[in-house]
Amino acid sequence: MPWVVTTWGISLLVVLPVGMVVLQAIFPEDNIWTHLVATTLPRYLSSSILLMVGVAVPSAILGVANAWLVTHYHFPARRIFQWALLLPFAFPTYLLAYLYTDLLEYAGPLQTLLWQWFEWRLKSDYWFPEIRSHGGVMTMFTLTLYPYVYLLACASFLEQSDQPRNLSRLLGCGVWRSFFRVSLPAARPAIAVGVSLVLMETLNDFGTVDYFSVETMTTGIFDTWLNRNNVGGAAQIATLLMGMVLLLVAIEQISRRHQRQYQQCK
Amino acid sequence: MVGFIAGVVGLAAAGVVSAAEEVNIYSYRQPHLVEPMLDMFTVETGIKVNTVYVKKGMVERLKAEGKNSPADLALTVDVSRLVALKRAGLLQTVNSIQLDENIPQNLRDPDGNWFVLTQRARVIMAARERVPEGALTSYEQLSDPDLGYKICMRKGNHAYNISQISSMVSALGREGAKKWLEGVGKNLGRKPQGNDRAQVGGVYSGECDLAIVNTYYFGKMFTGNGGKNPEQIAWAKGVRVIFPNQGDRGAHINVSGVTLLKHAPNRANAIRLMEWLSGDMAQYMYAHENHEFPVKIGVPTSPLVTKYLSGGRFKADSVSLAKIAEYSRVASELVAEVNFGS
Ligand SMILES: [Fe+2]
Repeated sequence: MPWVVTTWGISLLVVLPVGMVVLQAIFPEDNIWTHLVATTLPRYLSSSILLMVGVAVPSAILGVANAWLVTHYHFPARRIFQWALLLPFAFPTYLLAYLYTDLLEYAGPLQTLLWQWFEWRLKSDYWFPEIRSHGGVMTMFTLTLYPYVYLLACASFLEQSDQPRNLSRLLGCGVWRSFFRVSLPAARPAIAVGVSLVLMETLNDFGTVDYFSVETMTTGIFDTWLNRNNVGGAAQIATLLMGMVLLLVAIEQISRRHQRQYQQCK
Repeated sequence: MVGFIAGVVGLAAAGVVSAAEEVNIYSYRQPHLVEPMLDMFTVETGIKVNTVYVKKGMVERLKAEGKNSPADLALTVDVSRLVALKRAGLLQTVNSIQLDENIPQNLRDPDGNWFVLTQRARVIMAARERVPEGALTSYEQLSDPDLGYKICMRKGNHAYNISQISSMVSALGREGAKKWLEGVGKNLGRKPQGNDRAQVGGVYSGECDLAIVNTYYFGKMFTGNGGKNPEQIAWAKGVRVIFPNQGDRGAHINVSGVTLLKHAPNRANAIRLMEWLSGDMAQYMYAHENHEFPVKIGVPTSPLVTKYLSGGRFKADSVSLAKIAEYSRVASELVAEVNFGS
């Protein structure tokens, strides 16, 4: 019984501010919803969605491929790789962003070196990828968030019985075919969970995208609230963002249910 | 919630010294500037000053704290913030002969709700080596498709830029200002990023030819920021300061100011500090520590400002502060509409 009370208490602590935000969104003091919809909101939304796709796909590939390699192949230092691949977890994305920006920006050491080698000087003299961009953000997120997928995929690959895969090999499937037809589908629910966690982190980030001057739903909330002094508008964007996160949670839940079924079948 | 916690912390801080004479400040202005002055005030008057440095959202915080707010005064830059505090009903009227004497009438709220303490111009700093003298004379030119120079500018929605865009709205109308902002956006050398000084850094590195900057930063860079940023001396020496629109309406001015909060628990001390901030000692310190233009007539600008920034003797845009504050909403709409800087 005390546990129930505690749980409800904690839930209430979480739900209360969320409820306040939703209320502010529905009954704003100064409603700028039409201006938001006509101007910034579509940009925030499409930018966030673009980031989600651009982070989910490479994170999934990187996470699954690494998990497969360390669980199914023997190579030197495999054990070190097994946990070393998790280390980026401990690295805040914005910190990585600072480091890469210092290295790659116009006046950074790399481009300065290029000036010396090629006698370039002005920005118009040459092309260099802009780190403060969607591509830059996607790269930073992928590098720090893929361990979610890696971790869950590893667990799933290790849990899987070798029998179906060995059987498929006996029946003439090549290594790749048996990976794609047998092992990957079995791990799919776990991968989906990992990817949805990656996506939630991507959606919630503020530090990295702000530093890179890339507009997203979160920078939109901040900008509308503190620069435009409009709490209602910020709450409206925040409510939409929460809706997106809820959608991800739903997807994750459905995936988990599938995972349970797979495990029961085993 | 943040406001609530801040209030509690503030109250606790206030509680410790409740026996002594004191005054509590919420400040958007930075410690390194404010602290030496407030220390001096304490020495002169014996009144202890407690300061909470706020980064964002002062209006929200004060609203949340309501009657329980420990704050007496708000120190901030930007007239639209002063007006936002007034509109939110967070201020009270001050009638002080001393404030009225020290601060010119156009730099005070007609209702006595806020008072300007310092002024600075938003100017163009141009690369000495690449931009010939006289090549650029107005803000309007910055949006010229044939400008031929790249501009470095911080994010469009920053208070300094909103104030500047408001002045363009006042001069050119909403549509005119929108076209101007679009044009400036196309002439940017890089995505808006960093603070004002970083823009001059961008000119130094060659990423841009022109930077839009507040005047006092020239002083801060020129002195290496008191030894903290010696590399910035070269940045300052690499640029020529251009006061725009000297042939017509004048250069845009932005301000910093002080207000007395509605629920100020130490009203008398607060007014005393307001008067002190407009007086000779504080005005001299603002001018000499931070290279701003003092509002009190007769207080000299810093030697550096006198030599390199015309001692503040340039033509300033005479548009009223009330107008600038009024247009700030349109200005931030325009930044959103033209998707400035992307
Ligand atoms: Fe400043």
